[in-house]
Amino acid sequence: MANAAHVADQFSEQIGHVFCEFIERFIPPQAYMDSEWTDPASDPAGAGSNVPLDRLPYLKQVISLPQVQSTTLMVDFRDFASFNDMVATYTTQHYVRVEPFLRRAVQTVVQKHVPHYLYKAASTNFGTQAAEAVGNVDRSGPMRDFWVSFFNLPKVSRLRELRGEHVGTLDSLSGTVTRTSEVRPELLLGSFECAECQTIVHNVEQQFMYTEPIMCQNPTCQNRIAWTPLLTQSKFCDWQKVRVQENPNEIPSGAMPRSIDVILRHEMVEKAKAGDKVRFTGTVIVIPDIAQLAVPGHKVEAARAPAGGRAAPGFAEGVSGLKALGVRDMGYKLAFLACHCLPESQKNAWADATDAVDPAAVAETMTAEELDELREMVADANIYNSLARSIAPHVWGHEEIKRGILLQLLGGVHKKTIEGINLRGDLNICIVGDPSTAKSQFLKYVATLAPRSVFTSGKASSAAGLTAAVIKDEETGEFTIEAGALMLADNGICCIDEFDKMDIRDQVAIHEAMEQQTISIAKAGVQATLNARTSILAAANPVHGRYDKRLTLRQNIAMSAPIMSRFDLFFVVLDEGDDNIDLRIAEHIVNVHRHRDAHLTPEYSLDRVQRYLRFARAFQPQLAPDAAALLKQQYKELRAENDHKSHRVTVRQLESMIRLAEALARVHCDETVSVAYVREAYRLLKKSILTLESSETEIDLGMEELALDDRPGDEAAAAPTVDAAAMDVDEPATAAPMAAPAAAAAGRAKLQITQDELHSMTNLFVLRLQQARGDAPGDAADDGVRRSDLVQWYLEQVEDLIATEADLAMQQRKAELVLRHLVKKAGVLLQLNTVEFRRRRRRVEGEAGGEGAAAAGAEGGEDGEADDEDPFLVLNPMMNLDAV
Amino acid sequence: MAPLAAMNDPLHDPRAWVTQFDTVAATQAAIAQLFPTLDDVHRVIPSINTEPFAKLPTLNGRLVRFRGMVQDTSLSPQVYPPVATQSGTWTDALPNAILSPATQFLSYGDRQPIYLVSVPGEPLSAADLAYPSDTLVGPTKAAAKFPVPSAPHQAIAAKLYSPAPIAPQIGQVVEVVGVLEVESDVPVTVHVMWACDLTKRTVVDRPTDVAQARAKLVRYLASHLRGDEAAGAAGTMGIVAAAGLRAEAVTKSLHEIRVAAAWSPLSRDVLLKDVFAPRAALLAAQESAPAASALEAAATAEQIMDEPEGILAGRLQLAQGSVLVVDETAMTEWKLNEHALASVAQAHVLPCEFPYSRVDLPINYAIHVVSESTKLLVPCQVRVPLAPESTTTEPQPAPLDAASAYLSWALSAPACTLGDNAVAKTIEQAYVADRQLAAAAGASSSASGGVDTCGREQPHWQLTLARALGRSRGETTVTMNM
Repeated sequence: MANAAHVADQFSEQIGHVFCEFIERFIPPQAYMDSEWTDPASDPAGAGSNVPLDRLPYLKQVISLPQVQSTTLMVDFRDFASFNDMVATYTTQHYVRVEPFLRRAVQTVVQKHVPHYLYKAASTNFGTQAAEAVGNVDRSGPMRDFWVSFFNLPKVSRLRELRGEHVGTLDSLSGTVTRTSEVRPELLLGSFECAECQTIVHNVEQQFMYTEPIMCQNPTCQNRIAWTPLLTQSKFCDWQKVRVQENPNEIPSGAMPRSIDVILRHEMVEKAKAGDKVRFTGTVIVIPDIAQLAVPGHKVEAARAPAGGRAAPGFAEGVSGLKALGVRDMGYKLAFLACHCLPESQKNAWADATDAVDPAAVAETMTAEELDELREMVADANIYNSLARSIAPHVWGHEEIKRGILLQLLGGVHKKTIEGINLRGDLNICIVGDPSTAKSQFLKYVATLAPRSVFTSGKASSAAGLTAAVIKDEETGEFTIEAGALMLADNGICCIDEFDKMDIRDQVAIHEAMEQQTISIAKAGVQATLNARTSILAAANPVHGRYDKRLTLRQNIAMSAPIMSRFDLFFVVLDEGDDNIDLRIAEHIVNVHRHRDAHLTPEYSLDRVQRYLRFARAFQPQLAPDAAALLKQQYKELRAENDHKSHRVTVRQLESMIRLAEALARVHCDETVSVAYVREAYRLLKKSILTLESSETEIDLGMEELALDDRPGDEAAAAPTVDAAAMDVDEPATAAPMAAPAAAAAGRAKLQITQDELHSMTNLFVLRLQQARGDAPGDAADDGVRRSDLVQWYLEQVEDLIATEADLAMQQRKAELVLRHLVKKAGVLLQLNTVEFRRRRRRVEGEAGGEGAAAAGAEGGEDGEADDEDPFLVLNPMMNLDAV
Repeated sequence: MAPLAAMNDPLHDPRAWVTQFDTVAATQAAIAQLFPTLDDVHRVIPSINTEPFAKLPTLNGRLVRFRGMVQDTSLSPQVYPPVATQSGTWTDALPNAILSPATQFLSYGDRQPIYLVSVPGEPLSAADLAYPSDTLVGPTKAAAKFPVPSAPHQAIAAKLYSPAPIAPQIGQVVEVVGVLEVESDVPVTVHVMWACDLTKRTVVDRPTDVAQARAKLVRYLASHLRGDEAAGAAGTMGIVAAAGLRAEAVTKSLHEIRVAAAWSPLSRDVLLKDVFAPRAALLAAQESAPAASALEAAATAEQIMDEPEGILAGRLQLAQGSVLVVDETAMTEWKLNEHALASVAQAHVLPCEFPYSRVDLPINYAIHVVSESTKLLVPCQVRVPLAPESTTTEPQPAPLDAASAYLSWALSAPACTLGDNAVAKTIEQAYVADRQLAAAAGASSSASGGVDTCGREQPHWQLTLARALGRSRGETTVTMNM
């Protein structure tokens, strides 16, 4: 048996020879355009005679292998097919059979052109270098293995298309990596020593499982079981297993995504990360299902409940037990052995947040057409608002939230202190609001827009689900880490819906991830700190179902102070009735139902926004000195204002402001953070801080014709209400473009009063109306009081506060607006219908006397006009006075 | 081919005769020739749908049939030696050196396992079982694969040999015929030789008189649903919210006309967020499970650990053509997955979230929400109000075939699109008016002065309801009288 002659695979040998020729002689078609040298087809001497090395890409690659310390030859399959189509086709069909011969061909070429690289160093580098120096080849070390890595196959198969007929053929598949194992050594060819006679058996091929020699080669020994592996004489390579899931767009309707294990070897390990969309080239293989062998199956046992009674718990399982899932009954499974892996999503992925990437490098990855579009966007003077409006176009309104989300998508600049501490650049945003206000829509949109984003729900997520879980590996039984949502969204955005429903202990678990952007895990003997450089976009509902403006934000949402402080921005969305807005929303929704996507015409399409974000994120803007000075001043102001308020302004808010300003600079593709950006960041942050302090919350009375502003003069001068629409990309470094709109904005500023003030005024008016109702006789009790009378009465009550005419005008306007607010928005008061009211009054007066009735009729028209200007107000009978 | 009668004896041990055919494909062809119609299948082959567990081993290796819903199609495909029956047994052994070029053994057959469960919501009484004291699949270990918690059901892994006789889709109702394999250490498996997509078979033509068929069904439903004609009419629409009904009554009335209707007491009040939760989500759910259900959680975890790919069933995974009765009244606020339910009702897709991807699974069943108008699942304006005292109508006999046929047709009819501008304007105006009313009513109780019951979901629901009504009437567009 030991002397049995090897059967030569002649055909594969020939394939190997052709491949050798391909490496040495292949010239890309475009190289023929330059004809300074002889066409190799007409050159009997072949390669090396007069073809410059630059024109022989594969030979050049082989020769440069020692420089890059690589043992893998990357081969574009299209080149191979163009060199010899028949051989390429045969290689595709019989890849497993041919592959060893291809590798041997590379070895042959290496031996011919770079012989010193054929052998590994025997002992020390010094020895090797010395041998090279004298032109000798040190053959004392083991021979290197070389590998061939094909890519660019003409067809990329879908995962579910891989069938038995594909086993052993060269194939390409695309999928999303969901899990990666650690890199381990894999035994390829084992050497074993016979425990009986010490005979050594070399090169025992390992068929995806530990395989010992069948029998000792010593004819007198006959040993079949007692073997000692000789590790130093065996060949190993790096091995990694990744789990690949079918791409969502390839799943047929009504089916669920399939998964397959992909085995990566040698230089292909660590090329794919969880979450990457990757194209693999290799072959389908059938491997023993180790997990199946290791785990005993669930026995199918009959179970009968006691007659007439209920089955005991755990005793009533029927035919379908734990193993009822249909795959464990087989000792073999399909897997994919990849020789090449190329992350496809790289094209659209965001750069690693902590790495500095040149915007020009990002631009290089785009086509000419895409670049033109990008240039057009960069030149858009109103890019900030145009982009914001292009965010979640199916949601009507909520411009401020869209701006916040835009800034989150761009993020601030990641920094590292001298001590090596990371300062996050990611922005965390929380949207709090009444039910049915499109919060989840924002989250879903962001999850679609941002690469490596994860959408999860606080309701269904525990700490382990969000951060990381320690689980037992099926095959090895070792504990490994399974990534949670925050880890999966590394360098992306983690959207957490129903954040308030998350258990408080689970909220605590993400403290570290939100600020340090790492996840530390110490469980079941596994200790690790993992990256979670992710922005968090959270949505929460108020604890009592609806947002109560009288309470602070913290009282409205069940969230701890440490968590709240980690959010850069809070947006509160209230579902308040307004006929015009309601009609616009209804139109929007009905049109979306009627015309679907055709109705949504954002200024920039999703693809364009994605490309712009990828480009803009490459900028690393730095603070200009005047912007830095303004930041300091504004922080100081915030701190000073903060003395008596419920929400503590800390250095975290300063950092938030910096991040926001940096993100704004990125919006404009600006290398410098200017004053204009700082002002807009301040405006956003201040709005968010005010949200946190409900007792200080300014109630926007929403009358656009007003020219009042109750803020102090210096604050108004600081123009925090700068209209963001005026952000001008052409002159970002100066405050000038901001000044004009600021002045314009001042002209249409809204009256804002505090919640407490609104309450006290409401109480006064309610008391007055109650009093009027009590005083009036009979039917007149329901007539109410004219608005002007109420205003006059109010002015009398606040007489002490009025010193000048301006004070008087302001108090009068304030009273009028509060009354309109109580009628139109709060619903506390009702405005009597003028026509109906006139009719009623005429009737009452008619009953009182004919002359009077005629007179009233004559005056009716005038009355009507007067009523429109100065209507009668009554208390809403459906109002619960205790709640006011 | 021998006549059917002559095959009686071999049918008791198909291994004795399937060896006549060289390949699985040939065997499938022979079976298809033997049983050209579903009636032939039913006449000859025993069903294991209600077969008590204890009796199953006696059918080992026999030809059996099973009718069920496709619950999971994500299981990994398998390969097998192409001549499967040479040994006369259904084993999966492959040669050891399968990939060695020397063996030249590079040809395999394919088969795809799918997981079938009894059709959820189909009534299964003790009388259906040969031994009433037996249960089928119990409430713990396999429960995570069955949508209705704690309900007795049967489950098998059906292996479809290539070329597969059907293209399985989740929610599809199929009948399979094949060789039963019940052995220790392997799950109950049916090696499928013949299969039929019952969903396709039951698609019926448009009734000649839709209005009459609808009226008949409405009368029947109205007589059972407290005599209210509106509720009866609503029952035919696909999605409806009704106040003042009892979920049991609705479910029972649907069962009587042979409609699979799933309803459960919802004692735990949770429709899981991840309806088909992948492994990670379930691991998380298991970690946060309360101590009271530790046993169940442990069993679930064990199952998850065993099968990383398999999807687990949520309550929204139902068979095509069935009705989900949701008792909103019995649910705890904020524990209901209202997003998923709204998605099912309005877009007819079930969003299933996997790590890094989301799959919108198309579904086709109706939802009937029973509510006391206290929750926010369905806005109050789209509810069908029912007067509790209106119980005067005499119960009508169940219009079995006609009702089933009409419902099957109505549920599979093409979607009804929105009509002209007038309809759109009416819906918009109705929304604004509803908001005004809700604001006036809610201002007194809501501290924010906002609108309590009429949010942005309202027009979505209203449009959905109008479309469903149009579909039930056989219309293609929504008109003003809906």
